[in-house]
Amino acid sequence: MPIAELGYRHWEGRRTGPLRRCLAIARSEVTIAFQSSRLLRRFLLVAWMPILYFCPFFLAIGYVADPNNELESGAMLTELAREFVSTEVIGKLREDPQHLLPAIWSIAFYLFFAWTQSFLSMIVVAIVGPPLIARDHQTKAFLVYFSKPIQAWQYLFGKLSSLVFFVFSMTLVPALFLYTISIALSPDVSTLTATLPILLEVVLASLMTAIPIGMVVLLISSLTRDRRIATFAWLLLWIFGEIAFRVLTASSALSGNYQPPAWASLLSLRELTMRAVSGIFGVRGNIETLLNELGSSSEGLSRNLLRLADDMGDAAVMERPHSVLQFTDLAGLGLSPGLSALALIALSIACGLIILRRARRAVRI
Amino acid sequence: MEKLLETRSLTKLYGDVIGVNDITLDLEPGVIGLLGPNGAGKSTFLKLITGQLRPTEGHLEVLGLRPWANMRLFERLGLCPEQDSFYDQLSALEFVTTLAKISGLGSTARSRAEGALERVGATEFMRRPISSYSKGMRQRTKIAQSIVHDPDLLVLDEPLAGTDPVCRREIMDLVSDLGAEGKSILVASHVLHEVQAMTDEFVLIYGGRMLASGDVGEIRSLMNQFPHRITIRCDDARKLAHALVLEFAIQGVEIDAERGELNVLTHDPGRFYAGLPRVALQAGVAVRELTSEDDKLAAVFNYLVSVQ
Repeated sequence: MPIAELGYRHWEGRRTGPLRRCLAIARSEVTIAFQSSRLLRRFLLVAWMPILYFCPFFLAIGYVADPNNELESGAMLTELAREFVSTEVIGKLREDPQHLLPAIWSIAFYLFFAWTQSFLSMIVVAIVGPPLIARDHQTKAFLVYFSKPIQAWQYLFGKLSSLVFFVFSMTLVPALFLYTISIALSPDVSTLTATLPILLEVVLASLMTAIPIGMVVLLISSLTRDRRIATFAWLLLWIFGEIAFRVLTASSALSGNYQPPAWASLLSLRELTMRAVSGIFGVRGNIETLLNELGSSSEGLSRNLLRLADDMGDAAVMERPHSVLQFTDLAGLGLSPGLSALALIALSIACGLIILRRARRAVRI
Repeated sequence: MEKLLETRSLTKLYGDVIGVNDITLDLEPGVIGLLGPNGAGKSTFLKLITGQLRPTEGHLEVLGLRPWANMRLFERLGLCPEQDSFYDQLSALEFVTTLAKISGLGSTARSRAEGALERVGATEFMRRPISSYSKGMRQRTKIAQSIVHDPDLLVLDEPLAGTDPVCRREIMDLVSDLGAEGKSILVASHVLHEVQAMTDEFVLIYGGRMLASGDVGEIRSLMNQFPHRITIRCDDARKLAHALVLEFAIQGVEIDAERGELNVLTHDPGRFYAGLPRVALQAGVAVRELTSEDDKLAAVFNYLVSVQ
């Protein structure tokens, strides 16, 4: 009878690829974040609260857009829809849902990102991001990481992936949830094909929200061994950038010039992100579509457009609340979405290069 | 057979500071002690070997591969650093599993981690957070992560630092067992007798330069003229001194009656340590403390440098 060896077994298997190795780092960071921060767990729950506002919107619009649904029989949903859009808009929507629904959904998803989730993402990054590399400086975990068959970019990708996980959990996941509900209530299957590009927009917008702020916070984290200093620096960068942008916008409005300088957007990471996201969702084009299609009946949309304008820092629209038709022109002020996206990509690459350089140097310490 | 290590004029500069200076060395596979006092350049040498630093000058090959950022080598290499490079929130099992996955072990990572932790005697506490671990538990965890991917070369930087006698013995046995299984192991330490318990092959580094290399006999012969100074605290220093002089070939004895201390100079510390308990027992003297500054390599190295 052969006697099996009970001791240490030699490894003879095939090694996994680089992606799975990166994800091991991400998974470890996610575990640590959940274990070490009760605040984070509570915050993630809070971050889903905006769903309570957007879910009824999608439910109501989806219901009234279906010509087979009797408006009177679903009185509650009809009334809810009228809270968002006028009766005329509902009428147009029922006539040609495949044409108008994608535009309305795109704008709604943009608002979901712009109003709440971008702001919440900045906070979750402030909770999770600062210790990610600072802790490795402090504990000298670099020594262990870089003695393993893993390259510096894989290390960085793993760290970034953990941040992306948290940002996605409050952007991509709830957005997909909203999309699924909307499709479930849509008039027919053709709505799915008509709105399929929105899925890609949601993914791109989530990436555009997560990666630049993730890279910036990782850069800050790589500059110090103390997570508290990194957290403080991140909050300073975010809050002072936001204040500086708002002050410039307000002072432009007060001086009668409704155009803040284009470079002002560069001061605020969130503003820059939202401009890029507005480009991904094609907000300007979608608003033009709605205005062209609905004509004078578009007044019902004015309130939401004004809120959108306010979010985009266009004080001019707030000054002239009835000039909805001029909104699309005003929305084009400042740095364009394309340039904003380019600025964010350049910023991410620059941060990445600096982090990689510092990661290699850190081993010497 | 593939050489374990081959260096030619290996030099590492940190700006104007010399970390490692002109080291030329050939090592065959086996268990090798890298000895040197603190600040001798051991850590820099290990970082060069493990590919974490690029040599400023010279040639370096480990297992036939140039180590700098060489993923193929990293798959065959395990490093147990001196520092506690941990995430305290994780358990040893989570930590070692993560590093096993980073090493590419995939779906078998967890079972491999359990096996490695079992091998170092960490099964009992491996599910507790690392923050609750003693120094010995941390050392075991570090060693487990270094062997989890079954490396051909294991580099242990001060693996016995801060451990209790039981843990020290177990780690020594583990290193000896791994060596017997055919692993190559480089053990860095500044405590001679600890490394001596694991291997007979040494490389001595001092001031960033290689001072000597060879087996224990060769190094001992270099040190023959250098008596070890051993301090014993006991309840009757005179009586113990008398018994020791009768038993051992001792070069000198100093008695500090006030402090109850006895300083002994001997050329054969191994025999002295082995026989002391018996002699003390026969003399009826209780030994309270036994220390030897000469076991610190700084003293040995100072001597070797002085006789050059």
